[in-house]
Amino acid sequence: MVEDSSLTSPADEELVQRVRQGDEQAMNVLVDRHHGVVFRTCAAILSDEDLAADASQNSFLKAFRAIERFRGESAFRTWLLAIAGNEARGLLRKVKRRREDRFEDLDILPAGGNDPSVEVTLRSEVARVREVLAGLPEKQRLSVSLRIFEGLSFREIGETIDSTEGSARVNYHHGIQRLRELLGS
Amino acid sequence: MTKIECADVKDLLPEWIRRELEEGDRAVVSQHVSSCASCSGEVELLGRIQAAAFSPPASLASEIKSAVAADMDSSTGVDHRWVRRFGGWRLSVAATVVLALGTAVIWQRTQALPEVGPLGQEPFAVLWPSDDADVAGVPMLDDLSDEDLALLLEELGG
Repeated sequence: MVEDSSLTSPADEELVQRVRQGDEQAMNVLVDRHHGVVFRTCAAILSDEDLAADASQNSFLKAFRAIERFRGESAFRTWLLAIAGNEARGLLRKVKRRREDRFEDLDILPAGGNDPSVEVTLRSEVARVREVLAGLPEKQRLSVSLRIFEGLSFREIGETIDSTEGSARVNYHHGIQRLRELLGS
Repeated sequence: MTKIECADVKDLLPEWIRRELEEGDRAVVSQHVSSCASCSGEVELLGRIQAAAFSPPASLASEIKSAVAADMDSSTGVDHRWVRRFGGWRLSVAATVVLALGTAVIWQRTQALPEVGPLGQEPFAVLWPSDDADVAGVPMLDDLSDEDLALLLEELGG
């Protein structure tokens, strides 16, 4: 099947218009383009890859169902990330409730979730950084993740975490300061 | 460079490590980092954080696409592509028009007189459709066919 080459690089705004007209291929391009940042945003909140994948899928479903309500006042990515943040937080609350029902302590989810190799992974540098990141307050964690992993501007981060641009900048620098202290860099 | 310049450089470091700065800015930041222990330490920290980024599963994008396609053809039986293509309000208008036409047809049928048959087999109301006391017992002859009139006269002993 021949791919429509005009869909390889159109702006999000144009793709959103096509989605409104029921263009499934435009939806696929948006999924290809943004599933990584959506996944990492969910993972920054949930600290669990399986849960982050579930939250990512639900985020796209909800975004496309609500596409008529997207006014274009912010970038599509920012709007999508706000949905993803809400979705991940909702899922985190559910998981915590479920764990609390089983009398399990769950201040933060361990990196790697229920992965049997978690003991090995936790000793690794990557897992240590993830663990420290997961211990930051959510706004600091998201500011650091979105700035370093995705290169989002402080304005975009502010819109995503429902703060001002200045607040996003402060959250980022406080997060970096805390990571420096805890990771000994 | 001064400490204030360090703050400016640190703001740009995420773009610098992602190689997203323009060449001029990149050169300035690179020169500063090479001579500033604080900023080079920050670069090392950002590198460690960046290496800890979660990577989406390879199958995630295709799973999301499948879920989106399934959602469009959800169990309601409504083809969401049609809803999106023609807009929900247009479908609502079409449904309202169909409902209005149906109601009009039913109303019209209930108002129309049933076909008149032989007097012995038809309800009395066929010939005396009104319950009004003034006209009760008076056949509405104008509405009767010649055959019905003949039957009526025969019934009346004419």
